[in-house]
Order: sequence, then C-alpha cells, then structure tokens
Amino acid sequence: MKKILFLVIIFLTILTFSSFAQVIKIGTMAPEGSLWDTTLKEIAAEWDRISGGRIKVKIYTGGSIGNEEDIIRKMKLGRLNGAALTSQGMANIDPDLIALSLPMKISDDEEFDYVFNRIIPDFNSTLDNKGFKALAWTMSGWVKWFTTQPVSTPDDLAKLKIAVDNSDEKVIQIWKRIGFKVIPLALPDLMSGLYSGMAQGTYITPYAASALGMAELTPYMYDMPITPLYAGLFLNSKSWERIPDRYKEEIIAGTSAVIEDFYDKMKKIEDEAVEVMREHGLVITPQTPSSTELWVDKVNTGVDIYVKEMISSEMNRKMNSYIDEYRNKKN
Amino acid sequence: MNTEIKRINRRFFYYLVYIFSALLFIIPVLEIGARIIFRTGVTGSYAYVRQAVLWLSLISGIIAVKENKHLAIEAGVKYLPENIKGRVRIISDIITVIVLACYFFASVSFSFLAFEADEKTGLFFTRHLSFILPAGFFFMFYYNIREFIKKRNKVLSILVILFSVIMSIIPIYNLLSDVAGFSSRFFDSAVDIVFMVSGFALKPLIAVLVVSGVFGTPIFIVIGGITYLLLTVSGGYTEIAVNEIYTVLTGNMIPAIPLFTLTGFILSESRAGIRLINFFKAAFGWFPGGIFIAAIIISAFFTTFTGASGVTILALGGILYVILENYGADKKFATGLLTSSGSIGLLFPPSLPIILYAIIANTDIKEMFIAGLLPGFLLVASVSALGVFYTERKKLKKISIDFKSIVTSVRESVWELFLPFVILFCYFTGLTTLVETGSIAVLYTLIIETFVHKDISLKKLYLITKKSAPVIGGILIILGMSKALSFYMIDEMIPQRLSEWIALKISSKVVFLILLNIVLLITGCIMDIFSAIVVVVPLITPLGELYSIDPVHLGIIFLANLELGYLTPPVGLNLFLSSYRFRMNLEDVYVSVIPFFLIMLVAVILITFVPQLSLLFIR
Repeated sequence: MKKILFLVIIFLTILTFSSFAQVIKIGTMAPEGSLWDTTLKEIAAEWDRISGGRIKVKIYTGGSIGNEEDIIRKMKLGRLNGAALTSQGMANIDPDLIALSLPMKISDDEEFDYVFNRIIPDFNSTLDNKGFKALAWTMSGWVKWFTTQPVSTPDDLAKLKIAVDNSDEKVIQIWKRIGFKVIPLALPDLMSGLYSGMAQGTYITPYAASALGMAELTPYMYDMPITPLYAGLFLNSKSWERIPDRYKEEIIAGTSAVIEDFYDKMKKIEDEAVEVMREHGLVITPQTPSSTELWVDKVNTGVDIYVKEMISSEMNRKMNSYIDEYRNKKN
Repeated sequence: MNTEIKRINRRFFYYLVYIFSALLFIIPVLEIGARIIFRTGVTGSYAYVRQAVLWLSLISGIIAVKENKHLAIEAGVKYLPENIKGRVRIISDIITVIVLACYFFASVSFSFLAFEADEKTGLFFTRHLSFILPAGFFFMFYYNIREFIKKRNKVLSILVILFSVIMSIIPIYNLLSDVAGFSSRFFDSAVDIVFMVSGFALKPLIAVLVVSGVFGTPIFIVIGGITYLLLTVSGGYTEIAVNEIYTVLTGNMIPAIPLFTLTGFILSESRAGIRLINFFKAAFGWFPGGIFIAAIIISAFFTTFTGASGVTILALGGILYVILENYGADKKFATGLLTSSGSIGLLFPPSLPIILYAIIANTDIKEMFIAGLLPGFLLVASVSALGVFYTERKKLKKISIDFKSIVTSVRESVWELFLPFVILFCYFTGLTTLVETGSIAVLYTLIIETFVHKDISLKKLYLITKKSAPVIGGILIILGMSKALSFYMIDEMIPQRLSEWIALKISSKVVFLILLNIVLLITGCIMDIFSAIVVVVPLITPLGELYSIDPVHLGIIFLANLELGYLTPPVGLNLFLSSYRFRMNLEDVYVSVIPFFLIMLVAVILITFVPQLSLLFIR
C-alpha cells in the first residue's frame, strides 16, 4: 500500500512539474538554415518571451518528421502540435485552402495581397472546422515555368513534357485537360527525370529551383506568375486550447509581427538566387501582356470542371467576388 | 463442397497476394504504355500502386505468420539446453501475441483519427483503404493466438488475451474518447496506471524484448514492441507507430522492393540459373579458376535482385555446389566460396539495399548505383582472386575452350543475359522511373520464362507468388516497424545527441571510420539488411556530415560493411543459410569462410579509406 502511495505521489509530482513547461512541436519541410527556419526560431523565441518560458517550441526542419501530408496526419494524431505548411500541402487538410493557387487566377502581388487578406477569415473558419488554428499566414513566392527550351506561349509549352508532383491527382488532371503533356513524378524522381529527359520542364518557385540546382537542367525561366505559393503556421486545436488564455492574444500578435516582413525578405533572397542562376546560364523570358492573355484563355479551358470537384462552390464564389472587388476598385 | 470451401479458405490470402502482385506490376506497365502511346499517363495510377504495396505488405505479413516465416534470429535458441528452450518459446509467443494486439488496436484508432470520412484516394475512401492495417494485424494476432490456445493451457491463453487488452488500453482510449466521445473516470485512471507502469518498467520491458529477440522472437515484433512502449511512455501517441508504417509503405519508391524481389523469385524458380551456369562455365571455364569466377558472377547476378534475403544460396547453392565439387574443389572451399558470394551483388544496380539506403538517407539513387560499381567489382575480384589462387595451388585441371558450347549456351541464355541491360537502359536513359523499371523487369522475366523458355506455367506462377509472399511480407513489415522506431529516435533528437556526443569523444576521421567499420560489421552480423538500414542509417548520416564524409560514399561504406557482416561469425545470416543448405555444422561453415572473410575485409577497408573508388564517376 505504501509503495503504491509513493508511486502515485511521484507520478503526480511529475505531472505537475511537466505542466509548467509546455512543449510545442512544429514540423516543416523547409530545410535548416532557410528563411522559414530562422523565422520559426524567431517565433519560438517570441513565444518563450511572452509566456515567460512556459511555452517551449521545438522545430523539426527539412521534412525530418515527414512530408506535408504526413505532418498533417501527425498533427491529427496529436504527436505534432503544429506545422508551417505551404499551400501545396494544405490541400491535405481541406482543398478549399488552396483555392488561391489555381493557375492563372491571380495576376500579381498587389492583387494577391488584397484577395488574400479578404479570404483569410474564410480560410480560418475552414481550418477551425477541421480542428486546426491558424496563427499566421504569409505569401511566399510565385511559381514559374522552368524548362529545357524557351517558352513564352502555351503552344511552346505544349511541345514539352512537364513534370508534375504525383501526389495530387486533381492537379495532374487540370494540366492534362488544358492540353499539356504531363509526367507525374515523385519529388525524388524530379531531378533525375529532368536530367534524363523524361521530363523537359516543371513549375516551381525560383527560390526552390535555385536550391535544387535546377538552372543547369532547365536553363529557361518564363517570368510569368502562374500561381502563388503561400504558407501558414497552424496548430491543431487541442494544442491551441491548452495554451493559457492569457497568452493567446499576445502570441498571435507577436507571431504576426515576426512574420510580417517575411515575404519582403523572401523576395530579396529570391532575387539574389535568380541573379546567381543567371550568372550560371539561366535565360529569363519576360512576360508580355499579349502572351499572358493566351495563357489565361488556355488555362481556363481546363480549370473549370476540376474547380467544381476540388473546391467548394461557396469558397469559389467568395474568391471570385473578392477578385472582382479588387478589379472594380482598381478601375 | 465443404472441403472445397475449406480449400479456398485456406488459399484466400494467397489468392489476394496473387492479385495484388499482379496489380503492382500491371499498373506501372499500363502507365508506361499510356505515356508512350497517348503521351499522358493513367489517371491516379501512382496512388493505386502505393496502396497496392500497403495491401500486399500486410497480406504477405499474415502469410508469413501463418507459415512461421517472419525473420528472426534463431542463433540464440541453438545453444540453449532442451528444458529451457520450451520456456523461452512460451515467453516469445506471449510477447508476439501482445504486441500484435497492441498494433491491432492502434491501427483501428489510426484509421479513424488520421483520415476524414470523406477523404479519397482515387475512387476509394482513404479510410477504407487503410483498414487493411487493422485487418492485417488482426489476422496476425488471430493466427498466433489460435496456435497458442492449441499448444498451451486455456487459463494462460485467457490471461494473455486479457493482458493484450490492458496493454492496448491507450489506443482503445484514444479511439473511444476522440472518435466516439466516450469518457469515464474509471477509464481515465486505468490509462494513467498503464502510463505509470510502462514508465517505471520501461527499461526492464525493453530488455526482455531484446533478449527474446536473440532467442527467436520475430524481429518485427521486437522492434514494434520497443517502439510501442517508447511511444506509450512519451505521451501515449501509439497511433504514430502505425502512421509510420502507413507512411513508409505508401512511399514513392517502396513499390520497387516487391517488384525486384518478384523478379528474383521468377528467375530463381525458372531454369534461368542452369542456363546462366552453362554460359558462364563455357565462357570462363578455360580461365584458371574460371569455374569459381563463374559461380561468383552468377551469385552476384542473383543477389542483385534478391538483395540479402538469402534466396541465392537457397535457390542456386545446391547446383553450384555440385559443379564446384565436380571441378575438384573440396567441401570446405566450395562452402566458403558460396557462403561469401551469398550477398556479393549487393552493390550493383538495381540492388534493393541501395534503393532503400538512398530513400532513408535522402541521397540520389542514381548516384548510389554508379558509386557502387567499382567497390562491387572489387569485392567480386577479391573473392575471385582466391578462386584463382586455389586452382593454381591445387593444380585443378582447366576446361579447354569449346566454341560450340559457348555458342549454344549463349543462344540459350541470351534473354536472361539481356535483363541487366534492359533494366539499366530503361532506368538510366529516363525511359522509366525506378518503380516502372521494376515492373518492366517483372514483365520481361515473365515473358521470357513463360513464353520463350516455357519454364513457368500459370500454376507455377501461383506457386512463385506463394513462395515470395512471406519474403516480401517479412521485409516490408520490418521496414514499417523500423521506420516507427527511427521516427521515435528523430522525435527525441537522438541522432543529433549521438553525433554531438561522438564529436566530443572522437576528433579523428580515421578513428571514426575504423569504429564505424566495427559497429557496422556487428550490425550486419546480427541484423537483417533492411532493419539495419532503417534503424542505423538515420544515426550515422549526421555523423558522416560531422566528419565530412560524402553521403554517397558513406552509403557504400555502410552496405559493403553489412555485406561482410553476413559472413561474420557467430551469427551472420549467410552462415546459417549455408549450414542449412549444405547440411554442414555451423562450426565447419565458420572455418570455411575465414580466408574469404579476410580478403573481403581488406576490400572493405579499401572501400572505406579510398573514397575515390566510390566517387570516381560522380564527383
């Protein structure tokens, strides 16, 4: 009896002590030392400061804890508390969250900025329904074509075999319907696929292209924003609820403050990366208004049906109304 | 009628394996066809292939349980006195049943927690597809407990089942509280007690698992049990173990493993071995030691496909042994040579261990393949050198060149000889991805062995899948369990801590490499290659960085050492296989491999300390 009592006391002591420091585990695909990594570390320091050391953030970089699909499952299972996800991975929580990344839907930074700010409350409630809490959102960069031959019109691209991430069947279908030759490839196969000529191009952010060393394989970049890559820092609702209420407001404010100039920093890094790639032989084909029109027309032929299957009509309607809002204001 | 149903019942899982193996290679073949003809692929094919692997793994895992063929270390049991053997066996059986029950409940909970009801993969609901996990673990549990009840007394059986449920209380709790919204005080305190007890008893329990592993408990149970305990204690997220199994088995490159294994089985069940032996005998026999070289090259050819699963010694050992003996080699030399050739093709493409290493260490598969070539040849050459030396010393007669027999044997074996080139061509020119190359390999061997040589009938094909099932299941289940353990290690940041600790203790790269050699030799000696890769690679990759060893070179060092580990006494895997295949005392097999072990050790040291051997063509 005494023994059991003793054990219970020890157990309770452990329990109370452990509730003092709350560890928040956050996973990301971004590699160590990248802008995401340093930003997350700043956020961690911020939370530590706000909570007086009661909230400790542990960051798992470089996909060491799994890819985005797996990270999301681990958040659902509770082992990970949070994640910094890109719009590519968010579809695994709810496809509505990638509404803005439909190709050729949004044309530039300014438009994105407006629509993004308008739609974030809708995204947040979608997340809420799925058991997640968003602490911050940010733009991260534009996805562009990188090809083995110069491309400026859809017809140029139609001649090439383009590699598309094989994890999202619907995205593959969109490109196929538009009329491009699509090679679905797993990420590990991407580089060797481009190297061997199985694929002759892909779409990717210039920053990622430079990190992968793609300038040598695909020396042509078409400087047209195809789709925005945005990102968010999410916690699962349970972990968020466990954070004491008195810190919550400050945590959100502090996180937003850290992340506010993320995109500006990112743009700077990306510009430098593009400059380095150019020195290594990257040829940049500039975007022209006439070819952009061709792209918008071409892409619209394939997107509509799949929009219906991927994104709820509600979210689609909202997005379109925000875009119209912006365009009307501008005119 | 009744017996008919029983027969189908008994064969049910084999039929399923047959179907899923077929799907696994047909889908990528269709994909390639569609890509070439219509310039676009098959809708959702990749997602289906990945799910097919998951299903194949679990069903094969069930078969491996039914046939009692899961990989296990049997070495320990051999030296136990008779009266203790029985008791050890009971403990091992109890552990197996409990661990499987835990994984059953954890995977039910996983299916419900990880997937939304409306989440889809292709035309199917993902949650429904994931039900193969609980189903698989349930049947493994069922067949084990059924055996147990048959062999032991009823009371003990009931106690074991009861204890299984108690150990599974955490996933049951997660399932009931998160999914069904059920809660009760009694339940909460029951969970707390399990937490507490596992916490206090963690180390002894892990020790029991490890010790039972040495005495024959299947390795996947040992690794799975340890992971489950660690996850229970560190917060109770036991579903994570199942999540890791799901993630790794639905991985992008994993389908290559069953595909190349299947290729190996088709080859070894046809008369391809005999045809190749005839060819190499005719082509190399006139050369001093040529017959030995021929045997080594054939082993290399087969081990490339079958990895280190031991299939080569089992399938070809017999016939090669007879040939070597007729040539004049004594028993000892022939055994030593065949034992050390039992995993000699490990470094040549499309070797599965290379693929797996590249996946786990996140290095480029193509680079690894190229890097393995010279070290692979070095190992082949060093064993061959012994053959030549032996021939000269024993003054064995040479076979004179007979052009006619060379021509006939080439004509007969030309299709099989082409296989490596077909694979290399498809993969390296970018015609196909690695997984697709695997399906091409299956298709190619199927066509030549069934239609060209007519060695294999439809019925035999069924028998081949039946034979390959426990091997594929054994490998893939261990892979899943090991991934779960390595997840725990990464989560606890153990690799970083280990590398920090080692960095403090060892400053010299040379000392580090020597230590690495020793550790890997021991690893290769006690662990099968797939567990070794998944468990050990995450630990050594940060160390490689620390001592600025090229990751590709590190991979080759790793695999070369493991290859040698297989013939390291007392428990290297090949030693057992040879002792079993050639009906020799284990001790005699030990003696027979000594010269081969020594010369291969020199080769491995060269591979370790001369990075150019691995990196010449890629850096």
